[in-house]
Amino acid sequence: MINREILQFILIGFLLHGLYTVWVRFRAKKIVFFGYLFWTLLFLSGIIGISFPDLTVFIASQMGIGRGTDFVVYASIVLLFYLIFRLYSLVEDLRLQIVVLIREIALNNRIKTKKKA
Amino acid sequence: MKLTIVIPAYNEEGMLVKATQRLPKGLIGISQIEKVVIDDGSVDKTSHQAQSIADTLIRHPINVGLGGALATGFAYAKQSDCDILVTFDSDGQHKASDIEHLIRPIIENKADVVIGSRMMGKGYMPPSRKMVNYIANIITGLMGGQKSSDSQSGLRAFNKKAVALIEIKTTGMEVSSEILCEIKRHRLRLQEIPIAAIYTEYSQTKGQRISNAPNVFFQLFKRLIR
Repeated sequence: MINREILQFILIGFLLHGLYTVWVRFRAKKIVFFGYLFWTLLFLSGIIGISFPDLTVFIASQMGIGRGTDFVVYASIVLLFYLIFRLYSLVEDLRLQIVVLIREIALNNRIKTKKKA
Repeated sequence: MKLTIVIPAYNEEGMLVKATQRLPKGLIGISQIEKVVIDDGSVDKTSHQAQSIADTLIRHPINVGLGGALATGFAYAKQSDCDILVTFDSDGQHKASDIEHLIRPIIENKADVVIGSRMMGKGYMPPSRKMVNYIANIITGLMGGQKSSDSQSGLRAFNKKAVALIEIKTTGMEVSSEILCEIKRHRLRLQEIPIAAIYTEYSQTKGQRISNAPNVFFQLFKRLIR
């Protein structure tokens, strides 16, 4: 059975790696400031939640949820829905941008046939 | 007056020439007719054949969908300063002679958009298609507020004002419903005229199918909430 401290250590390691990746991507201007802030706060809150489990129990009791773990699960589900929505919007925007590009290329390369209009 | 006939086509080598060979060469009140084929990334000989029947061929490098092809047609119509735009399916379902009646209300300035309604026409329509149309009409009406007897018809005419105002954002089959939503949004004057529809085994494999319905309305819903 894995010791609680070891598990905390592994999870925090993952989240720290996430924080570092966000920082590198922000420095390389691959994400906007809002994105940097969002992901940093998200990973930081994860680190805080794992480091101080009693804090999640306190927040859960304030929100009328029985256990700290339940609060984390509920919050994660909401967050996942939000991220899926963001991803979906991004893919949709990209698709529409490609369509605009295709249209421009097609219009610029239109062929006037031998028949005269 | 210049009339532009936009014919979206995707892998229609078997039907394109036959479907368009009777397109009008001259019409009363029209000084110029331009036939524009939008080849939506076909992988067969559609483009090659289009060159023999169209005045202008616009070729998408990849397949985008009916909505994307029609939007390209609208963009071309704006660039080429046409007075009337007609959309005409390439699957052989429409009768070219209906175009003359279709554009009449626009020439007479009685409508901004005219839709050729297969439901008002006396021709035979397969029951499955009829059912798809009824459902589509109801849902399009609920979503966009515009009633129509044939919301999925591909034979339509638009005047210059409608071409300038209508903004097509969807890329698939849902474009037919989207056009009606746009007509309502811009308070354009809509008229419907009966048209004949030719249903062959080939044409029934094309166009709207009942299996498309959930996706069509999901895409339309997305368009409305964007």
